[in-house]
Amino acid sequence: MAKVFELEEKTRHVNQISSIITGIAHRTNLLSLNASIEAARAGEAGRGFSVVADEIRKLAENSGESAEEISKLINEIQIDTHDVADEMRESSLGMREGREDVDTIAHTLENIRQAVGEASNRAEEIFHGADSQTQGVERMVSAMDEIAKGAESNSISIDGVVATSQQQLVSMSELVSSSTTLTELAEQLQEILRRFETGSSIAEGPQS
Amino acid sequence: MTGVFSAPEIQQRLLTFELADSIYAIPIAYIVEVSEVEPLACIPTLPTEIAGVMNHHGDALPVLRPNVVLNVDPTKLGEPAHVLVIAAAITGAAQLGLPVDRVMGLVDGEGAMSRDENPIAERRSLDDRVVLILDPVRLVARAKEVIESSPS
Repeated sequence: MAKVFELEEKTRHVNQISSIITGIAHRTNLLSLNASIEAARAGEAGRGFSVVADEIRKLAENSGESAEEISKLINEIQIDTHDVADEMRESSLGMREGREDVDTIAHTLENIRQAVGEASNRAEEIFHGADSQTQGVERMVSAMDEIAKGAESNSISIDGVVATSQQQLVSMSELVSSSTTLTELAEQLQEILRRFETGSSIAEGPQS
Repeated sequence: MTGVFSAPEIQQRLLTFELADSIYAIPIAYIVEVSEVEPLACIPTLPTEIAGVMNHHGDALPVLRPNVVLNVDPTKLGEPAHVLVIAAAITGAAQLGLPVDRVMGLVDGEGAMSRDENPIAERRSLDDRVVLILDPVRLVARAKEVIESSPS
């Protein structure tokens, strides 16, 4: 590609040279024209000079025309070279863009790889967390079992207390009943004793 | 209206040039030089649209716009390529600078004299083209009239 750019630069340089030649031809033409005028003004003495000036003018015209043709050809070559250079620049740009795309893809893949790694780490952390949670749940279930067992034991104990209390209540009822019976017997006995009272001494008992 | 120079060989050649899409010719006996276009200095009494002064080998040469001395459409005038330095007499001194669009070259042919004020002396067919033959004496006279008629 550097050669194409070099060719482009050289054709530009040739065109500059061609322009210089055209300028020289133009000035030579003007000089020969003025020489022809001077020769004409010199009359008969300038006749020979006039012929030379005409020849120079024709040569200058030919040089100018040739330089113009060269300039046209160079312009065409320049246009072609410019087109080729443009196409190569575009190709180069496309290749650069393609390389940038590949770099971007590689970068994206690297990001994806890092993201997958991070996701794997996270998954592992989640797994560990779930495991810990499972263990916690198991401990909680175990504790609840313990609590349930304790509650059951308490229930049994309460049942025993209730049964004992009921027995005590029955006993106390029986005691109350016995007391009532005893009271009644005592009252009956006191009634009987009251029938046997003869006086106060008697009632108070025998004197010794 | 026109007459033919009876002078010798010097009058047998014409300088042709292009101006506002028309081709003109002037006898080379009245041409002092074909000059490159030089920057014009202002004439105090004339606007630059009419005339200016050019340095011609150290001398001040009045240069008039072609549309001032010839009946040409100023909008058709191109960028001048050269200035014709014109004399009022055969092999005379420079009197007038006339900017032209393009100098075409020399052709064989006789000059012509105008018999009125118009600097265009004749319309002639040269190499299958219509060429306006200028009378340099009338042309310079017209230029002098323009310059002298300007307010001082």
